[in-house]
Amino acid sequence: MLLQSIWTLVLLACSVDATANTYPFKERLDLTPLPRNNLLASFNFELDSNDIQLYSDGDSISTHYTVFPRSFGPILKTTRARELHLRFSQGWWDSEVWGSLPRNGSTAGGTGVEIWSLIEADDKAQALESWVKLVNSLSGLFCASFNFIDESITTYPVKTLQPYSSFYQKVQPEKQLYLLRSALPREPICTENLTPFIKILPAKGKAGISSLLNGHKVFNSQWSSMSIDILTECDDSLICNYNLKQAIDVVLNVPKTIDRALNPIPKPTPGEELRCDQSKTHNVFQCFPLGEKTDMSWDLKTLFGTTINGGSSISSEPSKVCAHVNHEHWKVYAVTGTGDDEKFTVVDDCADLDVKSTTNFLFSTDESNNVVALNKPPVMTSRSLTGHSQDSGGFRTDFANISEDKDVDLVFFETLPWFVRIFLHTMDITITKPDKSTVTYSISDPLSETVLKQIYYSPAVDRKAPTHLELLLRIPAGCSVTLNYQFDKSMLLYAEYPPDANHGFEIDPAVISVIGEEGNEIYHFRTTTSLLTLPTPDFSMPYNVIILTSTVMSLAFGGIFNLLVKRVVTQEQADSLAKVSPLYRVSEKLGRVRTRIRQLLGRA
Amino acid sequence: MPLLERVSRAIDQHGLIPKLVRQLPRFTMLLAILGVSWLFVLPLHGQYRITYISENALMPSQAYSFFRESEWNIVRGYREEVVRAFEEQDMTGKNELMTTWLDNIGYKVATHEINSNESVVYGIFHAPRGDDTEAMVLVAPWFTFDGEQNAGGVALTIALARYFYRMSIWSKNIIVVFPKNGQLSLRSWVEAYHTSLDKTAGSIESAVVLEYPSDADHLDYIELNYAGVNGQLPNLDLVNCAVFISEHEGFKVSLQQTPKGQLWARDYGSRLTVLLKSIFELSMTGLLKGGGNGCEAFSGWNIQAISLRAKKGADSHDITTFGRVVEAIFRSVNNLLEKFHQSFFFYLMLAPRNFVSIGTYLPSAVLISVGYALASLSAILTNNNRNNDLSQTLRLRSPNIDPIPLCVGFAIFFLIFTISTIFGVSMMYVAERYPYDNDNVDGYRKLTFTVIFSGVFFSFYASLAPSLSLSKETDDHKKFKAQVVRTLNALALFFLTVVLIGLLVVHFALSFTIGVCALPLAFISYGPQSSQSRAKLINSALLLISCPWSTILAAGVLSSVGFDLDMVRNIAQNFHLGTAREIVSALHFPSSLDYAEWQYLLDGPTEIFVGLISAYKHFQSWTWLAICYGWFTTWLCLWAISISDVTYGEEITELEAKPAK
Repeated sequence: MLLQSIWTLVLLACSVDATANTYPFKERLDLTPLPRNNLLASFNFELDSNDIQLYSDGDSISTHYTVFPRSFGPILKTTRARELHLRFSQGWWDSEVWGSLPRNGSTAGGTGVEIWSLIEADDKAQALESWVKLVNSLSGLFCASFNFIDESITTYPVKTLQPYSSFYQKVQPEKQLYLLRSALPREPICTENLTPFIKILPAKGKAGISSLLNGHKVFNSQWSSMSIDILTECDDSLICNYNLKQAIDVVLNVPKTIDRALNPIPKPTPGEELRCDQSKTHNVFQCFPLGEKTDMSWDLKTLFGTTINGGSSISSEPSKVCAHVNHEHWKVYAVTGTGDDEKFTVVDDCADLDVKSTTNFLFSTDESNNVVALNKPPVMTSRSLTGHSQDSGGFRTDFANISEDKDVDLVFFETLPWFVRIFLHTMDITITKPDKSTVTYSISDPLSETVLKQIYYSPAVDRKAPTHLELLLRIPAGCSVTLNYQFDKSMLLYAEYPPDANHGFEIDPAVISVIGEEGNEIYHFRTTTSLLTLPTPDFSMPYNVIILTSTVMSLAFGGIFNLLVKRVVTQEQADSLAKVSPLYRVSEKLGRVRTRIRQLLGRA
Repeated sequence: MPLLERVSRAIDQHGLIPKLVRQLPRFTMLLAILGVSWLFVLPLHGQYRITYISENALMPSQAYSFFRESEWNIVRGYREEVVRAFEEQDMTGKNELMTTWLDNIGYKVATHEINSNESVVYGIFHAPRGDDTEAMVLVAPWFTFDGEQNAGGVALTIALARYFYRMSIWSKNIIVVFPKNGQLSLRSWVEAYHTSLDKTAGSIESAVVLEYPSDADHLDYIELNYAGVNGQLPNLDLVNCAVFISEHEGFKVSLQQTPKGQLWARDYGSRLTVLLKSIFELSMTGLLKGGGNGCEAFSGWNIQAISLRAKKGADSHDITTFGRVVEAIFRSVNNLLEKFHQSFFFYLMLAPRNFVSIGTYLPSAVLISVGYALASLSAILTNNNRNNDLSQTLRLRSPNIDPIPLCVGFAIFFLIFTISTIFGVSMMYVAERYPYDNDNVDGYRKLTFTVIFSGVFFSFYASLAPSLSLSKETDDHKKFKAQVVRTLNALALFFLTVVLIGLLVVHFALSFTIGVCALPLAFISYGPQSSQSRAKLINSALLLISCPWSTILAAGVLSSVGFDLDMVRNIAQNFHLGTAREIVSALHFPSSLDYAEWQYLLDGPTEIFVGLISAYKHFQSWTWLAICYGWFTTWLCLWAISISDVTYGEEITELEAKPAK
């Protein structure tokens, strides 16, 4: 029986291959050279599940998922998660040089791990229960510490990160919908997190563009971000399915990556290879260095260590690789085959990958800084910690609107752990006009409403809930707005300190959603994480305290005991009392005996 | 317990306590001598410890440094341009040049505008893949703390910045800063970084200030400075790392400006010299040379800062070696996961590889403070009243003070405290209002010497003061006056005790220095003004020695003649070689009576005084507050005591009132 079923499965698998069935799966790689010899590689994967039943418990058609990862289905179903968004990011996005984030930041996260989900539940308590169940299940799947997520770091976003699936727009849900979000800024993103991402792809990294995804290369980048968005998509007849989009973006510094590949030990450049400024003194001893080379030629194989291993054979449309370059200065070739069969094809925009042969892409340029026009992000933001004491501090967040004629509306979403007690009344807003003149409004000043349109604030509850702050801000054209507020630091219990407590405490990156004219979120980005120092005890201290306290207690006990059992008397009283004490009498008797003996002896 | 009872009974029977009470001033003296000699014991073998790296993650010099070979060409390339910039460009031009260079390398460059005509250029290298929460700072001031052109330091720093950018090992951001000087300009940048700068790179873990005022290819040894204001020191681990790495690269390390000839000395004398010099330097941080060595600028924000000053000399090491020292320090700090916390924050260095920790040196200042407490006790027990027969055992049964004189004593104390506060604050206001520049230098010189000479005048007034006693004072009046003076005396000394104990842990050097310098105050007595001119003269002398302004005068003159404790050591150790004359001739004593010759002597005290009154504004240094509120208040109180005319002896009267049974 078992053998038979295995045989059937094998046959089935063969038939799939033989008939070259296609499945609802698409993949596409975008390669965008950025200034200063950087390359943005965006891997996009999209896949759909079979139709599912939203509100039935019995096993039905939804138990078969085809390309949709089997591991997700039951989790989503039991927790009634209608949308699930995961972000794994690390590094600092240099928006001055690299422009706006890929896909307008909709798939980029803050440093560490971030997760949010739309959960259908009877009430908030049940939603939280489902949420904890969801994150615990994902914890194992993604090798991340999602299991540390609990109510104390979970927030319910109001204006930002809003759901956008067609389920949310079309379906009248049976129960209430709750949006829950949490972030783990301390989580280091590493190769172990990439593996699950590759595993949920149908080709498992063996073919298609995912064959480029080598952990060593992805995580040797300047910046990387991995994301998964699972949406419940429903059509008008309310037949739904899960739609999973996976995106992996990396920014590679081309010379550094090549250097690392060719020369793993960072030895100094040999003297004859130095690029010196010819207009200044240069000889065998001296060299004023020039900037980076701008006439470059490189290929994917050098950057990723491998070529693309053919296109995906089961995708609904051929795997695509697109190069976004300025064709005046850049040439892009697709190289198929190896050795003598090598074939060069000029790529203008996008190329479909051949399923059968390996493909490499060759880029060459005479002016690498001349790239396609980059979009500038609508707002530049930086957040820093202020203050220098152990018990209090502050945050300063700076928003600069670089547009000269358009105001920018944005939602500033900040969540702070409960041990950071913020004081909203200390918040003030400084507006720096284009002519560098500044005005400062306190939050209580009605004039602050020119910038601060709306506040959503849910205060922290010790060990139960984080501070949740959402501000709707309008940044006037050409101005920069600085938001300042102060906080106090709470003391933690001895056991609440994490390992390596002296590292400090990471504060979640703030999320900023730029609101478009229609009120939708058009651009997302995060500030960097902040590292907060709390008063950290010396952890050997409790033992010292125990020892000291015990000593003091025993001394006090001795003194009090003496007071209780002894009587204070004058010297004279003491002497007379001593005369009636048994000890005195005994010694007196002994003395008498002694004199008697002496007398006897003397007589003898 | 029975044993204690027996002892206390014996003490009682022999009447030891009244005898001991009379000896209290001697105990004060004894404790002070013990306190000072405690320090002299520390450099003995077995009393100090050998340094060690406490934080395992640091692993200094474990990685091979590649700042060598062709990097030298680049250092030379930058240096030629830096030297040209010094010749041809003003500060604005230099800043623009640096902006271009940093931008070319790939740093995020920003400018901090200090005021309309000064700005600081800094560049941030956001570590690839880093979480952008922590940063390490490398500072190269354009001018060193001696005012020399820091050509070597600036060129090395920009070459290192370029070298660091190519490495992919960083977990913390790197910030390079090019202020005009390592004192006020740098302080202003550090302050702005934590309050107003837009471009920041997370919390700063460590800072290294580089100085090499030379365009030479070679250097001799490294001078390491680490003192911050208010007794703040960098974690010992960082200092150890710097020493370990420098020695690993073959450099000799000099602490507290030890001259080259002494770098090989490893004896009691050398350790003692470094110890005493470090106490002096620590108590003077933020005051001299417009704010010291560069580490002061980082004090107060939990930043571990050291400054490395390369010294020119025999061509034994090339400049990339110095670069490798910096590289290795940065790599060590980069290894840290936690902040610096493993090793000591309070320590005194005796040699690059020897130190004493707080538990070992603290008793010294504790003993001195306890000495003051005993002096205060002695004052309340009427020991300072010359009307009492001090050669006899204390005969007073109850050293009571009536409530009203007690209150009056307190009131006078607070009045004097207010006076010295007003004086201190008004001096700080002057420093705030008038910058110490060429226009005001003469005014400041006058102010300083007015203050100093008023101190001298007041001291002598104590012995020359005419007797102000009313001709017909009743006994009640006399008694009242004696009690008020007694209260004031005890209170003033007790106040100083509290100040010293408060300073003790956080700023040992200051507490110790004030404790030693103000010690004569504990021995000031009072009595009738009409007689006992010898006692009054002693009082004057004590007041003069213990006046804060005399200390400033002495320290200022010593620093302007270029006095160095190493000279004393040299003379002591090599007396038979006849080095004494040679060394003494090295001091810059004026050779003639010409005013210009003497002027620089006067500038020493002026500089210290200006440093004192402006240090709070610039560096949030408490030294002036401690001197003004603690030391000067007590001094004024004791001056007031020494000029008051007390003709009432408690003991005599009491015994008369209660004739013996």
